[in-house]
Amino acid sequence: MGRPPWAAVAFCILIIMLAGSSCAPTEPYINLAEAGVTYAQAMDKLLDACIDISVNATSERMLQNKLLATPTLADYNAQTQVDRDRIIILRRLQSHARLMGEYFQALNDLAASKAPSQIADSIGSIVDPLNALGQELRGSDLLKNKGAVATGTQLVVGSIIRGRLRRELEQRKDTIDGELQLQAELLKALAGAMDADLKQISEIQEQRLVIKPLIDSRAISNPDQWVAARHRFLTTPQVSQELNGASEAVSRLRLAFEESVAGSLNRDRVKGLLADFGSILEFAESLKR
Amino acid sequence: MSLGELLSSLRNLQTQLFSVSVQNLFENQDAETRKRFVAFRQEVSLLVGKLTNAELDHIAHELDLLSSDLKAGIQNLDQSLNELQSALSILNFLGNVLGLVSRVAILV
Repeated sequence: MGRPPWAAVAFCILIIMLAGSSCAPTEPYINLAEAGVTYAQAMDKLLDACIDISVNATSERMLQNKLLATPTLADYNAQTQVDRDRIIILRRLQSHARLMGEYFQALNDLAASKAPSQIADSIGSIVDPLNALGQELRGSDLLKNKGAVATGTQLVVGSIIRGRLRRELEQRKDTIDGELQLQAELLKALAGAMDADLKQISEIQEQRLVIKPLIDSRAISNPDQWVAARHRFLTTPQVSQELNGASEAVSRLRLAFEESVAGSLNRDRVKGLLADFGSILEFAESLKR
Repeated sequence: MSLGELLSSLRNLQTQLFSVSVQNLFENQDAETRKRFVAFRQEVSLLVGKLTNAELDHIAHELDLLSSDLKAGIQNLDQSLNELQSALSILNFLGNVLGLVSRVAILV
C-alpha cells in the first residue's frame, strides 16, 4: 500500500464533486490488455515447445551420427552443453514473458474493475441517510435525485480509471514499444530455430518410423502406431509461417498501443488482435501435443 | 552478411547434411570417411546451436533491461486499483456513519 489514506479520501471527494460529468468506456483498454495477456500465454507455451523441439532435434542428430560412427563422451558433452545453455536462455525468456503477462493482467484488472458500479452503489447508500438528515434538519432532501447521483458517480469513476490507464500507457509507452519490437524479433528468431529443428526431426523420424518399417520385408509390428506416426509427419505444423504471422500480429499490437496513448484506439483492430493471439495460443498448444 | 542470414545458410547446410540421401550415401563409405564426415557434421551442428543461443541470448538481455520498468508499471496499476478499493471502503464507512447520525438526529 503505497500512498497514505488521504489519497483515497481526496479520491472520494473528487468523485462526489464531479458526479454528473460524462466519460467514455474502458472497453478498448480491456480488449488491448486481453490481447496482451493472451499473447504472453502463447509466448510462454511457445517457449516450452521450443525447448522440447530443440532437445529432441539434438537427440535425433546424435542417433543419426551414431549410425555412421560411434560417438565419444566429449562429442555427447559438447552437444548437450549447447542444449543446456539453450534451455537456460529460453527459461529466461519465459520468465520475461510471464512478467509481460502480469503487466497486461494488471492493466486489465484496472480497466475491467467493478469499482465504478460498486462506488456508485456506495454513493447511493449514502444518499438515503443524507436525505433523512436533511429532512430532519431543514425539512427537505439534501440530494434530490438519487438515481442521477449514482449514475454520475459511475461515469466519473470510469473516467478516473480511464485517465489513469492513459497516464500509465503514456508513462510506459517507450518500454512497451521496445518490448513489442523485441517480441517481434524473438518470434522471428524462434521461427528460424524451430522450423529447422522440426523439419529435421520430421524427416529423420519419418525415415525411421514410417519408411523403413514399410519397405522392410517383415510385417509392421504395430500397424496402428505406424498409421498414427505417418499422420503426424504429414500434418507437422508450418512453424515458420505461423510464427512470422505472429510477428506481424505483434507489430499490429504495437500500433494499437500507439493509438491507445494518442486516445484514438481502433476497436476493430484490437478485436482482430484478440482473435490473432487466440490462434497463436492454439498453435503453441498444438506444438506441445 | 547478417547473423540471421548466416544462421539461415548454416541451418540449410545442416538440414542437407542430415538428409536421408546424404545419410544413405555415407552409410556405404568406409569407417574413416564416415568418422570424418560425422566430425564435420557435428561441428556444423555445434556452430548452429551456439549461434542460435547467441541470437536468443541477445534478445533475452535486451528484454531483461525492460523488466524493471514493467515491474514499476505493475506497481502503479496495482496502486490505482488499491486506491479505488480504499475509496470504496471509505464510502461504505461514510454510509454507515451517516446512517447512524440520521437515526440519532431523528431521536433528538
